[in-house]
Amino acid sequence: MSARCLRQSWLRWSLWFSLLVWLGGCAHPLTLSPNLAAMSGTVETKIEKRVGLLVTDADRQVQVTTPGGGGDKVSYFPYRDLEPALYVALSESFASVARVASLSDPKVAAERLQYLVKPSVRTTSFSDSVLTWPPTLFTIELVVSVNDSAGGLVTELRVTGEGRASFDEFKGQPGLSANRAAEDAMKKLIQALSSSPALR
Amino acid sequence: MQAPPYQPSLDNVELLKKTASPTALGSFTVQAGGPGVVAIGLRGSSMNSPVGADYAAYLAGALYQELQLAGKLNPKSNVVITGLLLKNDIAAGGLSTNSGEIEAQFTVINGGQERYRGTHRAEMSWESSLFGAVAIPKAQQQYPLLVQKLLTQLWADARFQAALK
Repeated sequence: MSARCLRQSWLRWSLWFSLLVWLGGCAHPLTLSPNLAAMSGTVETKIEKRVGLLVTDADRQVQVTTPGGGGDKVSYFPYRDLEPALYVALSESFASVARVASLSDPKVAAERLQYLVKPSVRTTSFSDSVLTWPPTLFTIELVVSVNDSAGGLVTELRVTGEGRASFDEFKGQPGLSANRAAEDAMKKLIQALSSSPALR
Repeated sequence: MQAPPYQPSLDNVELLKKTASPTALGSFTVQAGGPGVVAIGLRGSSMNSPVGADYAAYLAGALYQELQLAGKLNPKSNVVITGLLLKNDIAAGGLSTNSGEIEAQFTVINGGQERYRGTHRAEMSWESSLFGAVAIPKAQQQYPLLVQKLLTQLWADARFQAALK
């Protein structure tokens, strides 16, 4: 083999290798976008309290990468994505909701907020497909701490949402299992809030 | 392929709580032949609205969600917002950067009289990829953010706020 052929062959293999490495390190972007309309009107009587939803800027920057199908990964921002759904879930459950940036946010006093709700989110994803990357199973565990305005813990609630999607369903919506898991988690959260005696 | 369901901007909702009066929504339509108003092309794929027959329904749904969450939606109100979607496009062909734009005309009828007519336009660009498996979902995800940005402009428009009162 001539030196020129060897050089061309090496170049070809280098390019393929670089491409594979790049692809291997690359996660497919997803968003967790539940159908919020499905969450409304699920509670008969709201809890007569004013609450603050506490999601910090640091929370919103948290990016999570979990497994998809075919050896690929998916990547998303759970707090940033779920914040509107959490706000809707609290609006369904309580008389009024406001966003607060910290436990010492001046809004707590100005709006006479009685509870501060801080969520913690854990996710898992999985796919049984070797050919397609969107997850076929997604879970979201929400742990919600409810504190009073003085900082005392009122209650802590834990719910887990699960979403499944098959190829026929997710081929146009790669985040479908995640969206379903988010909707399931939020509906369970609304239920848990409304049935918690500590919050009445 | 469908655009993701709209997620309300909580900044918009909190602004509406302070500035808006109870409002109803009227008809939302698309400009015939407007780019992307019925379907958005993403590298050979077509992205449709998950609600209604076109993206005017998506836009109306976005206003509905934010007004409702702010407690400012009243279908019986004399103040009615209508909309005409003029442009709605995403350029997803770029190898490293993609962009999107949306433009709509909004009208406020208050007590039977037109109190506001204005056009708002929002645009965004984002880092993308050579590979469609990354670029297409990323473009898909940007669409609700583009609509959020348009509504942020609308709700913050002082003339629009005055027309709602």
